[in-house]
Amino acid sequence: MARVTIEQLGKRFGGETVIDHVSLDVKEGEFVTLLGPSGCGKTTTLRIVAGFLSPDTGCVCFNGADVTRVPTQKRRLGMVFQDYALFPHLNVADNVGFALRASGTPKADIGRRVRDLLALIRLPSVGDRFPAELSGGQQQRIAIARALAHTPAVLLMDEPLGALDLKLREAMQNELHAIQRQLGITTIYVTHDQEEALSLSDRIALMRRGKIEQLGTPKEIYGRPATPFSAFFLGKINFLAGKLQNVYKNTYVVATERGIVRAPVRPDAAFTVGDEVLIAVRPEHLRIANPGARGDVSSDLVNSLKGRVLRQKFIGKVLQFEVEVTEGRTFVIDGSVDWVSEPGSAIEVTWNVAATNLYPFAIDPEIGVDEVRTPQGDPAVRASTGEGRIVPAARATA
Amino acid sequence: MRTDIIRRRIAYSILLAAYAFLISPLIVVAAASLDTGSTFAARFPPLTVGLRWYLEIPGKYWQALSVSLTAAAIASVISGALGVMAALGIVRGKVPGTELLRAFFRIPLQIPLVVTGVVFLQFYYGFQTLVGLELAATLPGLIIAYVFVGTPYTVGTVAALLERLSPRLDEAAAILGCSRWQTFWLVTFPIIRPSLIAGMLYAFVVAFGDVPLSIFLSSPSYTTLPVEIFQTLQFDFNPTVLAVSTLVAVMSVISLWMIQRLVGLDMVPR
Ligand SMILES: Nc1ncnc2c1ncn2[C@@H]1O[C@H](COP(=O)(O)OP(=O)(O)OP(=O)(O)O)[C@@H](O)[C@H]1O
Ligand SMILES: [Mg+2]
Repeated sequence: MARVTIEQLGKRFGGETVIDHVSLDVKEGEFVTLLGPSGCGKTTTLRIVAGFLSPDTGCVCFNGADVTRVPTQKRRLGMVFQDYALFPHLNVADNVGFALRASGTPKADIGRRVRDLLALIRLPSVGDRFPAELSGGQQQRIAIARALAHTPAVLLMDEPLGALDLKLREAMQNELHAIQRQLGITTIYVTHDQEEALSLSDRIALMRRGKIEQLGTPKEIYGRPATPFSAFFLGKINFLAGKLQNVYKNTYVVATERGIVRAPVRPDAAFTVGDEVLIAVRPEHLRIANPGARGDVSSDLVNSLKGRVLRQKFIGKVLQFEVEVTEGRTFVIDGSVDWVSEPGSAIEVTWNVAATNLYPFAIDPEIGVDEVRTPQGDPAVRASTGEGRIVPAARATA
Repeated sequence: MRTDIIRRRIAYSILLAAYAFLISPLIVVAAASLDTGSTFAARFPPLTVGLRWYLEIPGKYWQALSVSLTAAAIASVISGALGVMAALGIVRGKVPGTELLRAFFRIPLQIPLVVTGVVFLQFYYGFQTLVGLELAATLPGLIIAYVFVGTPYTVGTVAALLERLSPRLDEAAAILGCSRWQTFWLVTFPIIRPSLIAGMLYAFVVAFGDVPLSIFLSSPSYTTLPVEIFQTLQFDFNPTVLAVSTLVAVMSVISLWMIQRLVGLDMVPR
């Protein structure tokens, strides 16, 4: 097992910066996921660690030793490719035992190791078959077994579950997790599937445009996203623009088009009165209240915005409501099936002040923050038109 | 349902007709070679059947056959080695201008063999006056010319397969601890082997059956089988030539079948 340190990695392809000062420290036995949208440089980073590409700047260290110039075959790696890359001319047993054969291990030892690995991936009886005679999920598992045969110091995986259907994917996620824990092997995993990243990783390196946007445990990134993009990419998020009006009792008071929203003052983000800010709140923290039945809504601990239900959508475990809070801006709310709110009805959206995150406002069409804000000073409620008009939802659904 | 059967029958008849068309000259020659009577012309169908001409095959044919087999076999092996290297360079090489290189390797196919023969003869004469080494009507001379016309086939078949091969396989081999050399012998070579053999077979067949090129590069005392047969047919016909031709055809079929059984000629890797 090895500790992998990436320092200030940079890579350009024809004048375009693809990797930009990426640093990452993966501890022994840790499972770190590189997560990010397509083209953000995940594969490039992984290929540099594998030694298929050499970086323009920076270095890769295994256990503190610089391996940037060490050829791939001397790095003691295991890798699972997205398209598996099983050897078509070899049967499963020879595929799995390939690394051992290349290193000149005695035949009997190879046979034993292959049998153990096939048992580990729960495919004990396919040794004689050829890769083309296996299903996608089976090939996947063979690729994992092959990557583990020579007990690599580091395991690299580039979207290994990308080609599988949902059910198989979930099953394989569990299996991967179990195998990785059992062997305690240092793993760098690439995916653009946020749920996969959340459920498998010890830590996630969220990447965007060749940089690491945020590095942390799944809980940290999900619960306290450092940037609007982090909030957007992991899970779902609702954004609302506003202007900081006041700081009061450890609470920021933000004026929005629809009224006042409060957010807790946090040590890691300081704002001054007059700052343009972006309010972010997750769908599962939102509640729907009828305007008449006011309980603790006016309390200092709860935010509330008037809105109108546009649509409700049953998506399995929750009933999802789309609520228009200002013109053109809808909130998504994860509600329970027994909430009754007909489309078109005027309601109030409420949530705990503690669940509110604030970011400096910046236009970013990629994450749905694109409208130019109406000038402040008139946070008056606009007249609701009453019809069930569907406004193009410029909201975040990662 | 009915149209299905009709369609299948039509396809079957066309296939049969094509085979008959392809194989009929061989049948005529084979049958005529069994006729023991006529000595001045091929007679079909044969009137009296026997192996007379097979027993009377003169020694010069056997000698020519051994020249042909040796030259074509060595040339096809060299073509194979060159073809693999060239194809790897063209498909995997990171040098610019691989398109040009590819066109370059097709040139020998586009020059009429007669022209190639004349050029090689001229070249060999020049070489002899310069270096003093005789190449015309020698085994090395034949082999060089055969490699020239045979290599485009091996380059073609191997490059076609390499192109469809995922470069990930090489990366996977490297990850699993293989040096480049090991990667070639454990992964690349086994996968390209069927297409390499197919290309080498083409190269062999082209060399083995060649007249227009070989006729310039042989002499009355050192000649290849097709040239010998050609000369016989042109100047002094004798039914033994039919017997020799039939033997060669039968040998080709048997060896092709054996190659098919032993290594397989399907171009698609499993
Ligand atoms: N060999 C190359 N030559 C030129 N540009 C490249 C090359 N490889 C990658 N790129 C560019 O680098 C950027 C990052 O590519 P990379 O493959 O690392 O993305 P990724 O994060 O793995 O995306 P995906 O999720 O789609 O696989 C892309 O814009 C891509 O076009
Ligand atoms: Mg990728």
